Amino acid sequence: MSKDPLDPNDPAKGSGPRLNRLTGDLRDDMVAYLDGECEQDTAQSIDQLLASNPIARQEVDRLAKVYDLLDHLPRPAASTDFTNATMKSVKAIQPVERDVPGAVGSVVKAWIPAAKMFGLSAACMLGGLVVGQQLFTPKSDALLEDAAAIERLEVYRAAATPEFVDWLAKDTVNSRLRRAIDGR
Amino acid sequence: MSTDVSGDYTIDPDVQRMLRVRDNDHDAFAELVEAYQDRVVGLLTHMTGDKQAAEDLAQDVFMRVYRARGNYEPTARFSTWLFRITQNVAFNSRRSKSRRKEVNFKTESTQSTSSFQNENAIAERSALMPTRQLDANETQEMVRDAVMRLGERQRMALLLHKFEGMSYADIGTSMDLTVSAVKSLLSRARESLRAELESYMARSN
Repeated sequence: MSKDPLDPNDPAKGSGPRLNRLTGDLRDDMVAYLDGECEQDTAQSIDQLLASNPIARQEVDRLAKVYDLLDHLPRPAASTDFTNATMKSVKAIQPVERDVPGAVGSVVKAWIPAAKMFGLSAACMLGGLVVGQQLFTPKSDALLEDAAAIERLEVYRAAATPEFVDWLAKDTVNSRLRRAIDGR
Repeated sequence: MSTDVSGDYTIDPDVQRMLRVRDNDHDAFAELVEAYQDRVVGLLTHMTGDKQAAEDLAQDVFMRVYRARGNYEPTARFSTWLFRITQNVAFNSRRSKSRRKEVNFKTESTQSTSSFQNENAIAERSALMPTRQLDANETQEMVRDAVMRLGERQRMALLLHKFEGMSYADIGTSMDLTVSAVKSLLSRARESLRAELESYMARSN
């Protein structure tokens, strides 16, 4: 409670004509008082206010009566098959491997080994395909790799000496030849 | 009803049932549905104003409970946790139907309908019958209309307090609010109801 209900500056104080309605924190406290949710010191303050102020009493009485009117509301109940319908919905979302009832469950369970075999076969076929590609596909094409050198073969032939050929054999064909030809 | 200050919610028998549900005990889940179906449907009927829609949403609530079983931890009373889910489902449903301008409120008892469009319905109705006592059905309809006119958070807090007997602290846990906010929410709800029903109350006195 942020303010004392008996504060002399509070418009709710006493039985003066200024109190027409409970407002703000005081109203909140009054409702909490009715609900038994007040702190003890706040409840004592409200007790005192109610004892001395007929308008406050009237306001609290109205709030209590409004709450009692809620007893007139109907209390709708679930339909008789609600639990069964809910449990059916639950069964529908369960994994097929578990708790599938009766004949349907037997059929599903009978197919599980076949499904496993099918999956294993598919995995083997896929693996074989990958391995086959690795074994029988050339990793690279030597002619393509050396295309630049082949294109300049006549130049090399004219310039070559046995020492030059040996030197070429010691390192990468393309890079050395290009540097040699380009003079770098 | 008050919050268990010890924080050991496993003494709640429904928490124990939910822990069995976590271990895939379907009988325990059926027991929980049986125990709470009327309360959840009742709450959702007052939140949506439509009994059939409330049944569908209630089923959604229990399905969410079931789907969440694997991660369930008893950090609150079971009912508090359940009504938190109920509130989320109700508010989500409300948002998805925000374009609807009229909601039919059907109950098994009266099968009556009410409209939100006429803001002065209650005052007009009670003004038409100044000299006689309103009968039970009329009173029920008047109160129901007034409750339906509350904001959804005020309505939810009021229903949890009135019909579920929940403490401010438990309502706060369910609605993700502080106790102080719940106090203010309930106070404003009651003040709004009083404003709506004042003329009726004056005549009935």
